[in-house]
Amino acid sequence: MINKKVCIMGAFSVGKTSLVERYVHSIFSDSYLSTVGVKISKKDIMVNNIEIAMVLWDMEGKDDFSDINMTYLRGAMGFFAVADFTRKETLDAALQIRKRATELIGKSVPNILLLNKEDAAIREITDAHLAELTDSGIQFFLTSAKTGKNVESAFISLADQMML
Amino acid sequence: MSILNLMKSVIAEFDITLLERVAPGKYNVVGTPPKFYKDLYPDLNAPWKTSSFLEFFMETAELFFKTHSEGDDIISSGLWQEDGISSEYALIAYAILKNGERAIIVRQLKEEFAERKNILQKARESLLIQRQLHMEASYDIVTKLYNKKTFLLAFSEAVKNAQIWVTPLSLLIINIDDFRIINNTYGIPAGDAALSELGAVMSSSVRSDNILARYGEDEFMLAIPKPIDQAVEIAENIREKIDAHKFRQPEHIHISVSIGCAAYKKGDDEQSLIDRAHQALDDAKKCGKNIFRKR
Repeated sequence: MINKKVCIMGAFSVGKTSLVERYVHSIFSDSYLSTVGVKISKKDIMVNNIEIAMVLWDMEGKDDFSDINMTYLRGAMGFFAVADFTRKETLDAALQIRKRATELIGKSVPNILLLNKEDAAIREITDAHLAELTDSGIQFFLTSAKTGKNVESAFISLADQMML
Repeated sequence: MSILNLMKSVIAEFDITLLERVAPGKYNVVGTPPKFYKDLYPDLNAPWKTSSFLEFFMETAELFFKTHSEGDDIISSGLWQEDGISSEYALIAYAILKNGERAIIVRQLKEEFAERKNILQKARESLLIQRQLHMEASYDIVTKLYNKKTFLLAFSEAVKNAQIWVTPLSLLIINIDDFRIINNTYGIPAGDAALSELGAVMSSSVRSDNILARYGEDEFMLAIPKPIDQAVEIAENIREKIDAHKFRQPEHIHISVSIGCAAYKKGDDEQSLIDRAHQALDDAKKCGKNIFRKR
């Protein structure tokens, strides 16, 4: 079994814990519970007939992205930067986190931007923003921890990239 | 009293595990570990091997021990929760260096954790409520676009930028042709559904630095930081997209828009630019609708 450390980062209340809960336990709760510190979960998966344990570090959301504890990234083989579709500033934060993280652990470390709460009625992140992300070559998934949309696909995609 | 003797007595009273560093990266468990520790790490010979965070912390502690050989120092990790432990408590690890002795303690936090979590939770919930109120006050609920109030604030800033920095600014007023007929024929809920789709079509045609808003019942504003020739291209693109769009609700309905375009000129303020775009819109309506005109 190969251990692969994956960090999940983003502003507060973007749905980091819900994404992990959805992926690891296939559950979703509407109630919002702040994460304090780091929550560590594991999920065993098969990638190209190789068994790997994804060790998911769900990190406390920060109002100020510059305050995220980047030392926790040490040893990460991949990471997710998460934003909330209903709050444009969380996309800005996720992009900054992504930039800082790649500076710290290298651009070759696979990473995916997750735009969560895809099911929300009002969105501040528009098609125009998505077009700009595409133009920038940033890999992203539109996810919903609530409905489960694209959650599994995003984690599998990151796992695939980590095994390359 | 040495740190180990001190800790042994403390361990007896609190939920604490002490790991004595016997060699770089090698630790012995001191005393009787508390129940939480036995639950988490049944194999006490190498407890840290089962914990991703503790393993990580031990690497951090090694760096600390390498760089600090003397003095009384404590570093602490953040809190963490291992897979499977109750959400009611967390663990915290400290690396301690005292009188040349090196150790790591792992503590279980219950009351402090709950208190910290409650404080954070309340602060964030309050922020989210403020945010929700702001959203409801800023957006049009039907189209999910900015409402008139938000548009005017953003447009005022855009006009100021054009005045100060002499940057281009164009304004499009997009009016649905004969929208009242749609509402009267199919009912207001169906009209709202059509508006919602229309908002999505327009959103997909603009860039993130554009300001798109529902300004009135059947009227939309789009401010673009581009000269008029580029704004006209965007206007024609939007008009064509809407003209070709197959609405899901009301089914098979055809909707067209007329568009008035105007560019910021020296001496303009918000109102004069809006007035000129409205005049261009009137020109478009007089020319038979489903067309754009500029002034």
